[in-house]
Amino acid sequence: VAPTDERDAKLRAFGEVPDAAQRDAALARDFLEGDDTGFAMLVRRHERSVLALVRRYADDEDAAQDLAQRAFLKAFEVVRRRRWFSFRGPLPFRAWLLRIAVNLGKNHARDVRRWRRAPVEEAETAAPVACVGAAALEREEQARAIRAAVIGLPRRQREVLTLRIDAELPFADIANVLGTTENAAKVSFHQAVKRLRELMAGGEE
Amino acid sequence: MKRCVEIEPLLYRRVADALTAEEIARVDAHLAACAACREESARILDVLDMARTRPFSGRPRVAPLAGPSDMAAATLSRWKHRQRRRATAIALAAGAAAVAAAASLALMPGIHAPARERSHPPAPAAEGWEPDVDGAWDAAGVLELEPGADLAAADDELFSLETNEQ
Repeated sequence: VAPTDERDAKLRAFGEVPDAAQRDAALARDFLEGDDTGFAMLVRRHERSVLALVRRYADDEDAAQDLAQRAFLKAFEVVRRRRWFSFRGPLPFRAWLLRIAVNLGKNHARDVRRWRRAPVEEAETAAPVACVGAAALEREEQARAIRAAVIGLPRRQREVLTLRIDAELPFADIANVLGTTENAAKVSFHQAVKRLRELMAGGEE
Repeated sequence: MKRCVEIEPLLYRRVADALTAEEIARVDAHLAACAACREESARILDVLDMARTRPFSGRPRVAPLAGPSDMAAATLSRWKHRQRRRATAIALAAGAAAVAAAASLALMPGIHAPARERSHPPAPAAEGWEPDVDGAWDAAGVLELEPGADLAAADDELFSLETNEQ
């Protein structure tokens, strides 16, 4: 059995599908039947979360909008390819979409670094800084370092952390999106925060 | 200040919503009495705050599209553009495959020959013409024996040719 099928089976094993997921599945079916309204409504329902996720990896709002649109396009492509399997359960559109958004953002950041030979965070450094005190500047430097470290976290920790603090998902939803358990998501979050705190403590020494 | 090693893991579990009600009460009671752990707790929350993305200061350079949701309209437009490109690519690929198939059919001698026969019917035999049987055999080369070849095998080959001609 393919890993994706295993994950899908696990998603369905959560039992009762929430209303929101059922609504997504209905809209995805509408889209597959050629209804543009289904497409547009799915975008509207999830654009806030997707934008919040991809902003971390984007230099500006234009890049974030582009990344978000690409995440939606990929998700719809997955829906179209998987339509023949929809009889096995509702299409977990949001799970696919958010997983795509997190990893598309990461890939984008990697590609940008490759081409520019400079980290994405350089763009933030270049942004004009208002007249602020030394303490505020130091804190901003620290924040940049931490945001850069988030991108460099191990994949699962990064996924969980960003789904939690960017998309503001509850851990149960994060588990759904990543096809894992709520407890495992919490452990990954714990490890990610601990790692970032250690980085911060190292900077303070 | 020295932090309390038994409480520190609970501080991380607290931000991960992984504490029981009993543990939350225990941590709260400890923090009320321990300045070092209070400071550490504040720093953990601070790390999370700093890890959050900041909103971009500038507005998008792309002019917003009409409609209730710019993102929805723009994404739908990109989707349709992709679908058109995809349909064109499929049509081109199908056309190229058809041309390739036609070309390979035209180049296959077994299939091409009957077509030529149909388009060019054989000329009526000239008076006194006789088929060059020996020449045909020579051209076929089936009777040319390799040095040391088995004559019986050559005969079998010849027999099979005759059988096929009937």
